[in-house]
Amino acid sequence: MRPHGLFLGGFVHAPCPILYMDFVPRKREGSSGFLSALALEAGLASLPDISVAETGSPDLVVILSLVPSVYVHEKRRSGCSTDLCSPNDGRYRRDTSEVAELRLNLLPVVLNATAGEVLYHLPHTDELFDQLRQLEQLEDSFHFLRRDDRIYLWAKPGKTIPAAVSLTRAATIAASAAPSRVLAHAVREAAADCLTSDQHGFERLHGAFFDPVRLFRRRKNLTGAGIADKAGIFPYVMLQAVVLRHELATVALVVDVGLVSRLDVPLRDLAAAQIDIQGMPVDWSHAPNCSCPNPSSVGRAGKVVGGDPDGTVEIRGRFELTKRSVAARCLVLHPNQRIVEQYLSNMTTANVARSIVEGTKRFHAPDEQWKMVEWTRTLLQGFPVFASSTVTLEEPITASPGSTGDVRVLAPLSSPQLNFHYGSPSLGTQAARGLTRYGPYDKLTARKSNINALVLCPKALSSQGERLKRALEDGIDRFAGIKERFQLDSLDISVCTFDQDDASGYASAAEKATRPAADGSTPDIVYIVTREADRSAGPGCNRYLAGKAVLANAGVASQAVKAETINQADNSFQWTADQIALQSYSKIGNIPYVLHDPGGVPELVLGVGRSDIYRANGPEQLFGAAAAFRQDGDFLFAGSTAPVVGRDEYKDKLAELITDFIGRFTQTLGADPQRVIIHLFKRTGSKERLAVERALAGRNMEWALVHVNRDTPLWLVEAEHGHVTPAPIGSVVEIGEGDRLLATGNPTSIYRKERNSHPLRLTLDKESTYRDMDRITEQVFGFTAVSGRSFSTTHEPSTILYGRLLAEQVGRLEPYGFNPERSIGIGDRPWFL
Amino acid sequence: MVSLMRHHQKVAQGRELDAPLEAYRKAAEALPGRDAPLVDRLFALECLGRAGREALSTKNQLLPARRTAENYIYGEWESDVPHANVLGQTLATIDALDDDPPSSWPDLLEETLQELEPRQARHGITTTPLVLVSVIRGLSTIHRPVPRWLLDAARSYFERGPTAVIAAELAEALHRHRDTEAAALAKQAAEVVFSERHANEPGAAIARWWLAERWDGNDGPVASPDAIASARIQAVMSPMPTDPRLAAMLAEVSGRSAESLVLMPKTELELFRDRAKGHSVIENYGWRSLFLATPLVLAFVFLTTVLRWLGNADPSAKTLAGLASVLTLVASLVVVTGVWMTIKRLRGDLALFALLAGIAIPALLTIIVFFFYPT
Repeated sequence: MRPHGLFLGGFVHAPCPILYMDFVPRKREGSSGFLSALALEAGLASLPDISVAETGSPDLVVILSLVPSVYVHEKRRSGCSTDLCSPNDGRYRRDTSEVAELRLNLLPVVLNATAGEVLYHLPHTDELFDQLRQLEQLEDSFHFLRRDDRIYLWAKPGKTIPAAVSLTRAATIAASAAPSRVLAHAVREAAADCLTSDQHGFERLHGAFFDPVRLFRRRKNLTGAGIADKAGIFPYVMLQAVVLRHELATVALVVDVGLVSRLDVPLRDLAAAQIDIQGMPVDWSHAPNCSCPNPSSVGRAGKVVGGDPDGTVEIRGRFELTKRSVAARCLVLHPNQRIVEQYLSNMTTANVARSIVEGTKRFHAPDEQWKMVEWTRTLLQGFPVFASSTVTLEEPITASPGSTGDVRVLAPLSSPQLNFHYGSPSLGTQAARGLTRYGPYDKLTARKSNINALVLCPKALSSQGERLKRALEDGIDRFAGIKERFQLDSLDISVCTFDQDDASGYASAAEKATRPAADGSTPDIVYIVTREADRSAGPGCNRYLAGKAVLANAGVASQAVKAETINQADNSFQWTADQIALQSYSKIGNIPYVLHDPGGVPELVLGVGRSDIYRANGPEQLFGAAAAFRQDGDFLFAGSTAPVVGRDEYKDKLAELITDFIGRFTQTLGADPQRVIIHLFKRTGSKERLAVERALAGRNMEWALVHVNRDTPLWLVEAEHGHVTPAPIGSVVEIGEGDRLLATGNPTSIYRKERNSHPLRLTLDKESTYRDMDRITEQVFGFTAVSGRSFSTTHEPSTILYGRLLAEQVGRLEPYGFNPERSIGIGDRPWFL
Repeated sequence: MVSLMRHHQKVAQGRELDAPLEAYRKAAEALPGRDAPLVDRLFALECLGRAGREALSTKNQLLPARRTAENYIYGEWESDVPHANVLGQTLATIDALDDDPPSSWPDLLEETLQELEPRQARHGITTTPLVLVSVIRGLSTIHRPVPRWLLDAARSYFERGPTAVIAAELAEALHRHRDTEAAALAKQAAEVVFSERHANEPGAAIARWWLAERWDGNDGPVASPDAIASARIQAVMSPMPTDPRLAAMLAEVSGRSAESLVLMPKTELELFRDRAKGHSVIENYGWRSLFLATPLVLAFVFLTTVLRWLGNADPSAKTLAGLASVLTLVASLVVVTGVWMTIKRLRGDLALFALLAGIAIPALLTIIVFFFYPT
C-alpha cells in the first residue's frame, strides 16, 4: 500500500509524524524529483500520494522550509503507529551527509595461525592459578589467562609450557578458534614481548594485570640533556587489545602514546642534587641477585617517609598503616616532570626547561602522535604470537557512516541547547552570549538577588583584594560586573584584611566572617585571596583549605582567587572575573542556565565520580554523587551527597543513594521519575546492577547504567590531505552495541587544538532496561555544557565531574576540620565547584 | 508675563495630541522580537489585540506567536510549568483577539494545574510570579475559579516584596475573576501598584496607567483620577522601556489612547491646532497691546484734566491738538505693531498691503485728530 502524505506549507496539527524538510527548488527537478527525495528521506518504499487538502488521515505530514539548513527534524506523535518515525524522538541531529570519516588508533589484528597450533585450557582452581602465576614469573616461557571458569595457557613463541604444569587434564582449542578475549590478551602480551625483545629494546613499565601495557625506550629524551639515559622524559607506547566486530577482525590493538619521566639514579645522588625526596613516591629497582628481603618486588614501593638515602630509608606502602625500612639501593624515585627538570638543571648547563617545553609541544602535536602509531605498527608487523603463529596489523580503522560491523561513525551532535529563562524557554548554545542576551535562568523566580559578599585577604594582599572587589562590583573591560551580568537587585562587597598570613590566620578570619553582622546577616559568598604557592602547601598549611573548611562548615559559599590571577592585565582578568562571577552565582544556589531537554520524560540522572586522595596513612578512594532532575523540560542540579570512603562501602551505599534521590525526586516533583540514568566513573558490574535493582524494586522505572570513561586510550582524529587533527567536538563513533566514543571538551581551548585529546567512552551496561544510546550519548554531551565552572564545555559531563569534585573537596577539607554532615543545606548547592 | 505662560500651555495642549502616538511608536520599537520568550510575545499580542486600530500592523507581525504557541501545546505537550504558562497566556491572547480557544484547552489547563499542585520544587508556578499571572489569566478566560494554592501564592508574593509592574499584572489577572477572594487580592495588588513606596520603580507609571485602563471599575476605581492622570502623563513622557512586557503594556494603553483622542480627520486636526494656536497668539498680543494702549487712550480722553494736574490749566488749542495727535500716533502704532506681530506669528510674513496699511492708518488717524480735535 502506498503511504498517503499530506502536503502543507505551514504548521499543522496532525496525529502522525511530521517531517521537516528543506526544499530548494531546482530548475530541472520536477515534482517527481522532489517526491523521490521525500521518499528517500522518510524511508518509504514507494512514492507517496501527495495531497494539498486536509482530507482523510495522513500517514505523514511534510513541512517545507525554503531556507536550507543542516537539520532534519523528525518526531513521533502520540498515537503514531507507522514505522516511519526515527527513534530520535524530538531531537536534532545534523544531516548524515555532513559526517566526515574518522580514524581511530585501532589496528585490526589478523591472526596467521599455523596449522596445529593449539591453546590449552583447564578448569579454574585457585591453586592452579597461583601455581601458574609463580611459574610465569620464574620460567617466562608461557602466558595464561583466566576466562570465565577456565584457565587458558599457551607457550611463548619458540618456547614450551614448563613440564611442571600438568596438562594431562587439559583440553585444547585451535589458536584460530580461541575466544576473542583470550586472543586479545595473547596479542597484547605478544606485542609487548616483541617490543621488549633485544631487537627493539623497549622497557615495560609496571602496571596492573588488566591495565594497558606501557613500554618505553631511552633513545629519545625530550629533555635533551639525558645523563646516560638514566634521567629524562621519554615517549612511551601503550598497548591495549579490544574485542570488536569489524569486517577485518574481531580483535584490534589500541596504540596510544604518552610521556614517562624517569630518574633512575640512586636516592643518595638525588639528595646530593638537593632534591628533597621526603614524601616522594618510589618504585622497586633491584640489582641482579639482590640480597634484600624483597628481591622479587616490582612496581610501586610506597612513599618515602624518612631515613637515610645513603643507607636505609623508611617507606610507607599504599595501603599500609605502618612504615618499614628498605635499602635505599633497591629503590628509585617515581618522579614527575618538575623533579626531572630540577635534577637535570642542577646537573647540566643546558636549558632543560626550554627543551622540555618544546619537546613536549612537539610530541603532543596530533600529526606526530599519529606518526608514532604508524611507526609502532611498522615495528610490530608480523610479530609472533603463541608458539609459532604470527599477527598482521592492518591499517588503523577508519569509521565511516557506511561501515559494516560495529565501528561506524554516527551523525555528529549539535551543541547542546541551553535554556536561559525559566517558564518560557529562551534558548541558545553559547552560554556566555545567552547570559548576556537573556539574563540568568532564574531571574524571574525566587532567587537570591541581593548578594552580600566579602573578600578575605591578608594585609599583604590588600591591593589584590581591592582590585577583585572593584572588578566584581564595577566590572572590568567587557565584563560588566556581577550585578549587571546576572541582573541582580543589589550587590554589596566589602574587603576584610587580617594580619596573620598563614593557615590559622585564614581560618580565624573565615570564622569571623561567618559570625552574623549587627543586622543578623552573614555573607552569601566569601572570596579568599590566596597565592599560587598555596596549591603545593604541605598538610595543614594550605591557607585556602583552612579558610574554606571553616566557611563550608558554616554553610557559606567560598571562592578562592589567586593573587597572581588578580594581578593579570585587564584584558586577561576580565575573562577570569567573568568565570569567577559565574561560579559565584552558582555556588550561592542560583542557576545561571540549564540544559534544555524538550520531549523527554520525568527523569533522574545520577552521576558517581571518584577522587583518589593521598593521606598520611595511605591513599583513599572517595566517591561523590550528584543528581540532576529533569523538570519543566530542563535538567537542573538537584543536590549532591557527601562521599563515601572506601570501595566496598560505595557498593553497599549505591542502592541507598539511588533510593534517596528517587525519594527526593518524588517529593520535589510530586511524581516518581519514569527513568533513572546512572553515570558511573567505573566499569559496571553485577554489584552495581544489583544495587540498582534493589533500589528500584517494586517501581516501574526504566534504568540505564552507563560507564563514562574519560581515560580511554582511544583516539578520534580526522585525517585530511595527510594532516591529522582531533575530531570535532560532538563527533560520535559506535564501536559496539551500547559502546560509543564521544568527542568532548572545549572547542576553543588551545590545549585541545594542539593535542590529541581522548574522547569519552560510553558503555551501556548490558542489563540496562533503557537502551536508547542516542539519547544517552546526547544527554552526556549535554551535561558537558553545564558545569557551572566555566562558560565552555568540559571534557566530562557535570554529573561525573560534580561527583569527582565533591569527593576531592571533601577529601582535601576533612583534615582541616570540615564535616560534610554538619554543614546543613550545603548539599543543595554546588559549593564544591 | 502671565500671558506668555498661557501661550505655552495653549501650545502644549495642541502637542499633547501627539504624545500618545509618540509613546506608542516608542513602545512598538521595544516590543518582544522573534527570539523573545514565547509567553512575552503572546502577552504583547494580547496587549496589541486590545490596543485598537493604531496597533493593527504591529499586531499582525506578532500573530505567528499564536501559531507557535498552538504548535507548542499540540506538539510537545507535557504537564509542566512552561506548558501551563504558555497555555494560560495563549487562552488570554486568543480571547483578546476575539477568537475562541479549542474546546479541549480549558480542561487541559485544569488537569495540568492539578498535576502541578503537589510539587515542592524550588521553581514552579508559585515561585514565579509571571507564570502565576499567565495561569490566572488563562483561568479567567475560561471562567474557571482560581485554585486556593494559586491564590495563596499570589498573597505570598505580595507579602514578600512585590514590584509595581508584576503586581499590576497580578492585579489585572485577579481582577478578572469574580470571586471575593480574588477580588480582594486584586485590590491589594492595586494598592501596591499605586503606593508611594513603588512610585519610583522603573515602569511603575506605565504599569499604573495600564492597570487603570484594564480595571473595569465595577468594584470601584483602581485609584484616584489624579493618580491615574499623573501616571498617564509620566508614562507618556517616560523614556523607551527596555522590558518587552512593559513595552507591550505601554503600546496597549498609548495605542488605545491615541485612538480615542485622534478621532477627527487630519485636516480637521490641523485646523483645530491652528485655531488653538491662533487664539493663543491673538490673546497674547491683544493683552500686550491693551496694556500699552490703555494709558494713552485715557490720556487722550482726559487731556485737559491731565494738563491741569501738570500746572497748565488753560492750554492753547494748538497744544491740545498737538498732544492729542501724538497720543493718537503712539496708541495706533502700539495697536498696529501688535497686529503686525500676530500676523507674523500666525502666517510667517506680512503682506505688502498689511505693511502699508500699518503705516497709513496711524498717519491718517494722527492727521484727523490734529485737524479735527475739538478745542
